[in-house]
Amino acid sequence: MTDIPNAITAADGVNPDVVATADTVDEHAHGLIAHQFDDAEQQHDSAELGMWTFLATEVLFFGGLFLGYSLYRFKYPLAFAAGSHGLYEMVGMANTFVLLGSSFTMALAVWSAKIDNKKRLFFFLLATLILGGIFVGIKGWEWTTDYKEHLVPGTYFGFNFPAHVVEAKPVDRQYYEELAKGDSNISAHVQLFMLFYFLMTGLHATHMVVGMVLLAMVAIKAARARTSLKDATFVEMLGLYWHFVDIVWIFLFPFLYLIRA
Amino acid sequence: MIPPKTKHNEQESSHTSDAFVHAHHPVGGYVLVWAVLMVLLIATVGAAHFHTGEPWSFLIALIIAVVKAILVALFFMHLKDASRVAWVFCGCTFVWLGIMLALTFQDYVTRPQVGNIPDSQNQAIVRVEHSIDRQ
Repeated sequence: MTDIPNAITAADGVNPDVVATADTVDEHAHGLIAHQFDDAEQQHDSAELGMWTFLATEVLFFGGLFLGYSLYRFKYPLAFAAGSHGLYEMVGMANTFVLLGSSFTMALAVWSAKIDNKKRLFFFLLATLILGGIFVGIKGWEWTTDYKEHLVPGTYFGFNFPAHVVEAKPVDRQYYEELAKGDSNISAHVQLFMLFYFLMTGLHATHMVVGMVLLAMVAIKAARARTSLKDATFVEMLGLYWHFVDIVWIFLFPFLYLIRA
Repeated sequence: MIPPKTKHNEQESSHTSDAFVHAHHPVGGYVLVWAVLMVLLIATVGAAHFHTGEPWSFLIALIIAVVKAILVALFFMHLKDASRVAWVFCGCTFVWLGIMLALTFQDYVTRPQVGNIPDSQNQAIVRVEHSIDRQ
């Protein structure tokens, strides 16, 4: 339990690492601690709690989409399985692989920030940024392919696949025809699945891009060796956000790609 | 005596590191968590190819996803070292999410059974639904 100063502080109301008064005044004077906080510990705990509160709102934000998805999947199981077959499972798996790797490098970046190793911090932030870029790049390629295969809901939605798709995926076409026997309006319901797919992956990708912008900002600071105590907390909070986005994908991947009738 | 600003910053940072960093090197633990996540990823894709049928295929995928999320939260997000109030906030999140999912599903899942109740009552329900639709 020695490595849990926060828990001890919260539980006992006693700060085990009491900073000398003179130092505290200095930290305030140098702007390391905002004036409303007593010490670094309190400032850190406050940031942590604020971040968890924000993530709670994010869970409910994505939760609404997961709820809508689940209801319609419950209502139109065949169409959702058919829609899932139209996606590339291996691409989704590759993206999960990349994103879990980026969470790993992000955890190392947070650790580097805590031990104040700016070179390592820069390296791991850059690695996370690159892996995030690969994820968004793969996603973009996937969306482009979906568009070309007429999988975007609307007038040109091609559930009666165009010739080139039939050639590319003869097995899937047979599979769809099988399924269509159990759902009279399957085309509309597959479009519903695709709508959830684009909304959920789109919202997720937006979160990725926001995270990447923040990563780049701290990485530049770290490269100039200008990170401080405040930035260590910032990297830690950014880490929480990044891992949260990873967790959203951990659920999106099986929900969208791994449905089998 | 007031030390120069840069030196002061370094001292403060090292003070913070002592307080927050684990006594041991955390990298080994991170590698282990990452490896387990990879195994679970392969397991969830593999399980999808065994045609276990509903609801098992969905439940297996969901359980694996929950285990992966818990691993990420505990170790990468340091929830295991976080303050108790952070635990409470994290827990509340899933209580609210649970309320939203459970209450909505208990409505939709039981709707097909409305057809099995006597006609007189069924029509009353249909009338109520129509009046709701008009609103």
